[in-house]
Amino acid sequence: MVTLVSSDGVSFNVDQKVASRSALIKNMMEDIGEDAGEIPVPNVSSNVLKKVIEYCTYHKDDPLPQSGEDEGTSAADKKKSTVIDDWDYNFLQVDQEMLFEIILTANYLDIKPLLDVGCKTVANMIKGKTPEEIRRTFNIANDFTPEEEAQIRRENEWAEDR
Amino acid sequence: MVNTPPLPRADDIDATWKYIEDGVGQVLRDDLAHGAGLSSQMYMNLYSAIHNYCVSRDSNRSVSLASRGGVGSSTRGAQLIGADLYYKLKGFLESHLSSLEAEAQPMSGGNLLLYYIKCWDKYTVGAQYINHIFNYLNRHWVKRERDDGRKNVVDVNTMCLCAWKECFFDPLEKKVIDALLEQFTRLRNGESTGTIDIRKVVYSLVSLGLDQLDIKRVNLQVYEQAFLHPFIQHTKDYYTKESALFLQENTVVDYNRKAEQRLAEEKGRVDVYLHPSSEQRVIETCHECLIADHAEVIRSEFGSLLQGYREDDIRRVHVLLSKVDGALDPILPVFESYVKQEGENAVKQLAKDLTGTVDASTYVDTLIGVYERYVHLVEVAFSNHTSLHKVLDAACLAFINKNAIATPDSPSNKSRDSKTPELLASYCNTLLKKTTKTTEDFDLEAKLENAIVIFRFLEEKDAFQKHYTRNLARRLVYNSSASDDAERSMVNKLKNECGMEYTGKLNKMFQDISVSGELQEEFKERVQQKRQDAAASGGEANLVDFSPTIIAEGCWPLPSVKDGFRLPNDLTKTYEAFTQYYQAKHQGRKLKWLWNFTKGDVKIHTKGSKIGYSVTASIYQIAILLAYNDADVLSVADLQEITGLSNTYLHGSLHLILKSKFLLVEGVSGDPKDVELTPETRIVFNQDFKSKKIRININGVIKTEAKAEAEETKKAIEEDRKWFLQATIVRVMKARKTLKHTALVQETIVQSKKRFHPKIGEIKKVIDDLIEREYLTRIEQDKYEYAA
Repeated sequence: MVTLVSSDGVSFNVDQKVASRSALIKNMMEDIGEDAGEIPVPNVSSNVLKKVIEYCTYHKDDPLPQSGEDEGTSAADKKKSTVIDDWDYNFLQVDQEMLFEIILTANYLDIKPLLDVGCKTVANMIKGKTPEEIRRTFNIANDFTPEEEAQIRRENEWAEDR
Repeated sequence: MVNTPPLPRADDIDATWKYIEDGVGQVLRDDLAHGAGLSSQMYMNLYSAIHNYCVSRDSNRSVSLASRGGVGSSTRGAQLIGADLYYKLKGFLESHLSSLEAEAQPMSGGNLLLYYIKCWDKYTVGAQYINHIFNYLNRHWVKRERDDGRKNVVDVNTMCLCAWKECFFDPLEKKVIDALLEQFTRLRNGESTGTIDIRKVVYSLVSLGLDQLDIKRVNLQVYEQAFLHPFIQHTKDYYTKESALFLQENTVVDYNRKAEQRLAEEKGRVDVYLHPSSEQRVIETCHECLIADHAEVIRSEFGSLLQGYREDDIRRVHVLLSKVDGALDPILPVFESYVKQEGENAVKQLAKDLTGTVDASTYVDTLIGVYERYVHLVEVAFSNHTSLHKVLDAACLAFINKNAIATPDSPSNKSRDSKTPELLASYCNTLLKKTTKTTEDFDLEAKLENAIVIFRFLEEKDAFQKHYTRNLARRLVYNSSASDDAERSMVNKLKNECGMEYTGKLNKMFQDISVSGELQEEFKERVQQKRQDAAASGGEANLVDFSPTIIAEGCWPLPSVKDGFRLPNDLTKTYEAFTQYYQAKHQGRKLKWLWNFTKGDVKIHTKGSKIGYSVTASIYQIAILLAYNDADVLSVADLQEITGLSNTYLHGSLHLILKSKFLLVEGVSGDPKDVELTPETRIVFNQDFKSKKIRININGVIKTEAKAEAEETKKAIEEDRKWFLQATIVRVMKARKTLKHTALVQETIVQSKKRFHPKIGEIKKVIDDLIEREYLTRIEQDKYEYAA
C-alpha cells in the first residue's frame, strides 16, 4: 500500500498496483524504493484525485500501455482510438470542469489511457456539431467578424460532411 | 528527512532552475544505488516544478522561445515550453562531468578503471532518476522537437549519456582503453584482475553508442572504434608472439593442444566480457594467429599422427585446421594416399602369406578391416566431415578394385580386370551356402552388410552380378541355400544399391524355383498314380522318384553342354513320363535337359554289405555305375559306348568314382589319380568295397568343367558389356542426333559408371561396329550422326 496526499492534504491509501497506473509514480517507486512513504501529489485536489484513483482501481489489471513513440499503429489500436467502453463512458459523465481537471491530472501523472479516453470524450462532444452548438456546449463567445467567418468556411469547405 | 523547500513560482525560470539544480546536484552526488537519495516528496516536487513550469503560460517567455526554436516552431500553433530547462540541465551535467574528469587525469591503470566504474555506476543511476524527473519534458517538449525534425534534441537519459561520452570518456579514452587492454593481458597470462569489473567498462561503451536519429537502435560505433579495434590488434600481437615462442620450445602436438585450449579460453572470455557481436571477429583473429599462420607446421605432423593412429591428436589437427578456410584441403590427399597405401599393404601382406588359392573370406575381411579402421577415424577424429568421407571413399575405391590379389602384376593377367567382384561373390556364396557350422543370423546379416559395403566400391558391378548369379543358380538348383530369408535379404540389399534392373534376373530365378516346387509335387502325385495303376494290373511302372527343376533359359547362367549323353534304360520311362506330362501341361514349350546339373541317389550292393550303400552321384556317374548291373568288367571304350559321354565328362566322372573305390582299374591298386585312362583300360566293380559310412557322396566338380565355366563367365561379362555399350551409344545418339567423338565417349562413360568402368578402347570398338552396321555414320573426322 502507498499513501497519496492531495494538494489539500487528504490522504488516500491505495494498492501499489493502482498507484502504478501513473507512470510518474511507478517510476518513482522504482527509483526510490517501494516503501516511499507518503507521496505528495501537489498539483491535484482531493476531489479530482479521488476520481482518478477510482479509474486506476478499476483498470489496475489492464496491460500497461507500450511506452515509446510507435503507438497507435496497429489495427487494434486504431479501433481503440474511436471506441470508449461502457465503464469509462459512465465514469466520465461528469461536469465539464471535472472532465477538464481529470484530463490535466492524467497528463500530469502520466496515465496515458485516462488521458486518451478523456480527450476522446471531449472530441465526441464536438463531433457532428455546428460551430454554434459547439460554442454553446463549451460556453465560448464568438469573436469572429462575419467576414472572417465566411472566409474560414470557404477555406474549410472540403471538410464539410455532406 | 531533509526539509523540502516549497515549490518555486511556475513562471519564474530562474527560481525554477535553481530549485531543480539543487535536486539534480543531490542526485548526482549521492550514492543512490546504496540507499541515500531523494525523499518521495522532493522527487514529486522536482517533477511538479518542471511540470508547472512547462504548462505555465507567459507571453514574454513564449516570444523568447520562438526565437530560440527557429523557423520550424513558428509553423506550429501552440508553443511548448522547456528548452530553457533542457539546456540548463545539459550545461549542468557537462560541468559536473568535467570536474569528475579532471579528478581522473592523474590516475592510470587499475586505479583509473576502478574510478571509472565508480563514477559510471553513480552517474547511470542518477541519469535514470533525472530522466524520470524530467519525464514531462521528455513527453512533451522533447517529443515535439524531435517530431519537428530537430533530432539533436534527445530524451534526457540519452542526453546524459552523450554528455558522459563528450565530457568524461572522450578526454580519457586512450588511458581507459590502455588500462582495459592491460587487464586483458593479465587475464590471458592467467593473472587475476582483482575487483575490477572489466565487463562493466566494456559494456559502458556499448551504452554510449547512440544514434540520434533513432534512439532505440543499438549502435555499437563507440564500442567498436574505441575498444574493439584496439582489442583486436592487441589480441593479434599477443597470440602471434606467444605462438611463435611456444613452437620454438615445444612439439607440434603440444602446440595443437595449447592452441585448442587457447581458443576455448578466448571464446569463454568473449562470452563473459565482450558484446556478443564481437565474437566472430575476435575468434577469427585468434584463428588467424594461432592456426592460419602455422597451418603448414600443423599439417606437417599429420602423416606421422596417421601412422600412429593417434585419434585424439588427429582430431585436434582436424578441429584446428577446419576452422580456417582452405587449411584442411592439403591434408586430404595425404589422408587419401595413406589409406590407399594401407589397403594395398594389407592385401600385399595377405598375398605374401598365401599358400595356394585366395580364400575369399579372408580377402574380403581384410578389405573390410582396413575400411572400418579408417571409417572409424573419420567418424571419431574428423567428426564425420564430408570431404574426409569423400577422400576415404576414393582411397577405398582404389585399393578395393586394384591390389596385389585383385590385379596381380603377372603376365597372365593382361586384361587387368579386377578379381574383387568374383571374390566378393564367392564370399557371399560361402555365407549363403549350407555348411556344417551354423552362423548366427545376426552375424550373417552383419557379414552380408559388409559385403554390401565392399560392393559399393566395386567399379565392375556387372562382373559381380554375373558371378553372384552363377553362384546363386547353383545354390538354387542344388538346393544348397542355407536360408531363404538370407538369400532374399541379400538380393534386397543389392536392389537398394543398384535398382530393380540389377536384380531382376535374380528374382526371376527365385520365382522359377518356387514354381518348380509346385510342379514337382504335382508330378510326384502323378508318378504315384501310375505306380498304383501298374500295380493294379500286376505290372511295374518302372518309374523312379524324380524332382525336376524347370528354369527359364535366359535367366539362368547354366550352360547346357553337348555331351552326347545317353540316358540309362532304367531312367527312360521316367524321362518319357515327365516329358509327356510337361508337354501336356505347357504346349509348345521346349525342354532342354541339363544333364550335367543332374544328380541322383543309387543303392550299391556289394558282397561285403547286406544293406548296401546309399550313394549320391551325378547322373553321368549313375550311368556308368548302372552299366555294372550287367557286367563285372568293362573297358573305357565299352563305357563310352554305353553312356555316349565325351572324353572330358567320361574321364572326369570315372576319376571321381575310382577315387571312391567303388570301381577299380584292373590290376592297379595304387592311387587311381596317376592312372592314364585309355580306351583299352579295363575297369572292374569292387566287390570288396568296405566303408563305415552308409551314405556316400561321390559327386564332385570336374576340374576342366570349373575352368571352362570361369572362361564362360568372363566371356559372358564381356559380351554383356558390349551389348550394354551398344545400347548406350545408340540411345545417346538417338537423343542427340550428332555428337563429337569425345563427347560421345564421355557420355557413354558417365552412363556406364554404375555398372562398370568401360575402357576407351572398348567404346571405340563398339562405335566402329555400329558404323559398320549402319546405325551411325561418320560425318566429319571426329563427329558422328545417328543414321537409323
